[in-house]
Amino acid sequence: MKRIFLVAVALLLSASAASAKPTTQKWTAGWDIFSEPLNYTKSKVSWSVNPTKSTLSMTFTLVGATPSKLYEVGIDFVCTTFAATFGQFPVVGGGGTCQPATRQGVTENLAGVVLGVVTTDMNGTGSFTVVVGPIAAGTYVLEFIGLNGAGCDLIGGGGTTYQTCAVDFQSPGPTFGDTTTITIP
Amino acid sequence: MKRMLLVAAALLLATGTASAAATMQKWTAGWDNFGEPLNYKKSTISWSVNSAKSTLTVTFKLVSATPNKLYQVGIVPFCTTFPATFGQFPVDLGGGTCTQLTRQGVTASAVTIELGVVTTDMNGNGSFRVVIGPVAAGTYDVEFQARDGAGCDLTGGGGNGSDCADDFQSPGPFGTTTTITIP
Repeated sequence: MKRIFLVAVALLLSASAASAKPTTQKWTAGWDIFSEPLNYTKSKVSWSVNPTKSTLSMTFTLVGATPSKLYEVGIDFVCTTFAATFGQFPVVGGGGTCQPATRQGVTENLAGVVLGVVTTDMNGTGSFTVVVGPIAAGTYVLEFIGLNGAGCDLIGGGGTTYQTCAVDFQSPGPTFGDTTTITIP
Repeated sequence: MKRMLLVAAALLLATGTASAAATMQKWTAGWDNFGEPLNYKKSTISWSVNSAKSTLTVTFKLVSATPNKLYQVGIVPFCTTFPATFGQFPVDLGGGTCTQLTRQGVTASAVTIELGVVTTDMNGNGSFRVVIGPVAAGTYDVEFQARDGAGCDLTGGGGNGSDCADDFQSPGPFGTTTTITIP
């Protein structure tokens, strides 16, 4: 009995060592649309790296957003050049030279990856979890984004229009180019 | 040490009682589109009821669908009348008298609740998990569905056009249901 208990404890410890505790950060208003409703105190992005599997897990949570609405979520990387893929997801435009963009008076070169959609309920609350990987080892400088609709650079939604692709929420922000650094060992 | 082990076992049993084991079922071709690609052997829907919280947890999984595509997923209760909400989600058209539909030669009355979106990666794989609740106690005869895009009866997508077409259903064919009981 004692041996079983010790084995269970060992398994639990090894599991927690492989997957780090999630980092939680807040959303701020986006760099295109500044008036989309959101409870910025309760809404968040949580992420963690599993170094053993070279994966990045993310949960996008929106609270107090527009009810019954689709918000496409993804990552904008600040970069000079970028690979064609990030884990199992294609990079918008196929990678290569990162594209310049100017928002909120700041110019950065970017590559984007679309990861999924948060669908809000009748209270404007929703979340979406995705595990990306395996990811090429490296240090990634990025912002998380929530768009004003679903279908930007994807099939089956509102299409690649300003109405759909405009950034409602960014994290960390509050200014375009404020980044989070994630290292995949 | 023995006491700790017993406490751990008791906690495990209590959790298992409140939340039943997940039921897994397969997708079949939808009642509108029959040519959408999917690996029907590996694609699944898993659902479970937590009787203590009156919640229904559903995980929609698509494998080898069209890459980089949005599939709006939902639940279709077959009914005569239905409330305006199902847990925290509104019922399309506001509930009331259920809408009569004829698909695959079968006529039945139903409502639809839009739950979320499966976004596929470059391999056509994706999943989406949602916890619905608290759901009113009752017995629900339902089909799960995946539409041909995102935005049907929701803001911010393709609108109520071709993206509303049903690509995948479960269990299917149209009118063949799964019974879910919320105690």
